[in-house]
Amino acid sequence: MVELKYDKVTNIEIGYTAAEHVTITNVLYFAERVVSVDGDMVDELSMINDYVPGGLHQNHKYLELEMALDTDWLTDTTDPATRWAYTQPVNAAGTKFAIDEDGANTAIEWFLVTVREYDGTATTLEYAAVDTNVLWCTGETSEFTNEDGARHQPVTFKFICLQDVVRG
Amino acid sequence: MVEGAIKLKSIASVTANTITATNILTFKEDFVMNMTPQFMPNTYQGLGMLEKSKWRQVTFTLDSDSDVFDASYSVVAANSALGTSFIATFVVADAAGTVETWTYTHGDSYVQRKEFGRIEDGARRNTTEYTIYMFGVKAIT
Repeated sequence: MVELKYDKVTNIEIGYTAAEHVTITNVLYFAERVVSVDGDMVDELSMINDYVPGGLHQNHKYLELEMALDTDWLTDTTDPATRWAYTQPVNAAGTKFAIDEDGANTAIEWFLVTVREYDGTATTLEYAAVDTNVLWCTGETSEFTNEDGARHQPVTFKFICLQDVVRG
Repeated sequence: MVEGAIKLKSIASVTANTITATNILTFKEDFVMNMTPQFMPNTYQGLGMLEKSKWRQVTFTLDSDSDVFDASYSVVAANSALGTSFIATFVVADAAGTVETWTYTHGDSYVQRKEFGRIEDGARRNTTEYTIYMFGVKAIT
């Protein structure tokens, strides 16, 4: 039995190889859930006038990921226009970015999350490691408040991943 | 070239139709991407992604209201695009208070919603919320 107790997100690597990626450290939170296209991952299959289900229907499913940053991450700190999602290449050719404002988004080929466990151990959650056509950025939300006492001004990205995470 | 974070500490103003409002309480920009995973029958893993249109929804809450969008919505006529500008200005959390601006394509920006502006005796905030629908690109400087 392996028990996992997470403390925080150390960093998130996004790009297309182990050598070609951004290492994002200002992570407010990272979250993962399983989404099933028809509601739940499995549904009971019952006959009319029967009480005990005769089996299960297995639904389509995928992972939905959320990454909240405080605020955004730049590939060049001297240029505020260099938001990582618009300037960090994510495909093997090094030519496409996670978000295209005027076209289809390109699949992200490298997406690793490193988390710190309670005892300092680093655990890596591997969603894409030189994998094509499995992980896309599907949303970006920027939120700012001038309300008194606000400490974080988050930018939250959503992703869809079509394969299982590898924990290492 | 060094990568790193940028931290914006506040929103300074919103400018539309060459009028600037500074009484901004909250700002939210949602880049909506219409993307759906595709599946074959009798498979569990998705095969790829169907991608359709994209747009941004920018929502401001003001304390209390402003006339910045007055020329861009009407109940007796079609809403027109924001006339001459649509800019959000932020303050960077550095010692100098550097300013950052997000300039939207104003000709592709429309007032989509104006929610209840509630004025209540004794309330600390009496807010009004506008949502702007925007397609096209955003420039950051």
